Amino acid sequence: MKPEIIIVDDEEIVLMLIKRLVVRAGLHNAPHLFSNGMDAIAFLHDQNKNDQVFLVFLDINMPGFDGWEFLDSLAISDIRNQVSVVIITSSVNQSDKIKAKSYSQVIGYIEKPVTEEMMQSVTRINKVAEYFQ
Amino acid sequence: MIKDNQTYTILIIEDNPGDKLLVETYLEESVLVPRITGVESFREASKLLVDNSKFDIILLDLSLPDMGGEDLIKAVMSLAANIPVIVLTGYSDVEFSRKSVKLGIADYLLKDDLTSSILYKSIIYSIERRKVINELEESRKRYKELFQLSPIPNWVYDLNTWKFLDVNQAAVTNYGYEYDEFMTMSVHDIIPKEEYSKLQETMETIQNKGEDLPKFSGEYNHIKKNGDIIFVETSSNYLTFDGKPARMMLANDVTFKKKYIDAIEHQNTKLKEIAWIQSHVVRAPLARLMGLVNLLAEDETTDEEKQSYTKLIIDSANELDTIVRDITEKTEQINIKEIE
Repeated sequence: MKPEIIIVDDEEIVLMLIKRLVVRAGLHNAPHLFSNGMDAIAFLHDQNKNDQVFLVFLDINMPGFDGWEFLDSLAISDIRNQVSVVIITSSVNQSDKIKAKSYSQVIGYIEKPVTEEMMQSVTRINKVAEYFQ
Repeated sequence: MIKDNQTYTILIIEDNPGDKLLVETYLEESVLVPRITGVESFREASKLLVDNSKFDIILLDLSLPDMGGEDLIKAVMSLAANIPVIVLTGYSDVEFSRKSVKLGIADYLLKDDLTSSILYKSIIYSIERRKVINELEESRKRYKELFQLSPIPNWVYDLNTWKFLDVNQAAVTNYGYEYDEFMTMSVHDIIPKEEYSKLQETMETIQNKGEDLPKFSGEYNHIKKNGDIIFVETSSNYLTFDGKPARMMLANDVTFKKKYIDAIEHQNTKLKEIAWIQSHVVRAPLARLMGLVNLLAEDETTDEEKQSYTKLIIDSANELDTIVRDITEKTEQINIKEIE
């Protein structure tokens, strides 16, 4: 079963761009889009299918509830083992990259702008590759 | 007996001619060239000594017509300066002889026991001992000067009471207290009340370790007499001062340096802020621009889509422009000359 895709970014244009790439790269035809981390977490909590896997494309720098807070909430939620996160950020700070690695749910780190090739390569990341075969 | 061929200039203060003759005879037996000056009263002696006559040694009888005993010793000692004084007396009084040595005399000889060799030995020993004492005194003075003339405030404080035992001129100048004021104060008086607990902790460590803690450095705020707070780097060493455990402390005023470092750290924070903005805020519209341009390049993009992308590109470019202007403004706020 393919993973459900969730895209979280506060910028509408970016949501549109990433969604386009997700569809084009064949990851999913209808990803879920959220403009903030709070709504995305709430959506995940509402899921009650135990076998469904989720792949989240997460922006870090968002007003209010940011990407780090999303990861903190996720780390203590029941659904954490069904969720993998690929960070998509405009940050080129090494410190952000290092911090991201400290979360076990994070399986990838992409610096914007995202290209179709990058999106393709996500399907080859160990933890999720099996779901895309 | 082989005579000492060195010249000795000797002052004999003795009113009894018989005793004087005896002493002179003894001297001539052991010394080749004794240059003897004889006076019969304290008045005459003081005149010679005040005139700064040079003597190698003073032989003093303790019962002169115008003065005697302890008073005489004290009076002669104060005039003799570095010249050793040997007391000659007819009375054996152990208690008094001990007391007179304490007053600074070089030796105490009984006239009845006097021989040529005893007198000679006493003179030679007294002169040599005085030389050593003078050297010690000289070295003590030199160290005292090193302490006093140091441009950095220095003081010695009692390890148990924290009272100042000595302070140098630089401390007086820097802190604004007179020397005598310092001598009534303790280390507490130059520490702001807010820092007492920190000080207490440090002092307890220092006290407990005593001489096992030879050197110790720290950074403190100190308060001057006029209330100004200065930031100092201190270092101190254990010593005993008048027999009491004490520490000598050096306090270097680095207030200006600290202000400068604080200002630089403040700038550093701002620069980090700017770096963060570069990475997060500037890169956001830029990354968006790059993404949109990629879309424009795609073949299947319709004209209508291209039009809306172009508008988004312009918006992003404008946003980027605003951000760059903000950063420039922030950067211009960083001005090192603001530091006073």
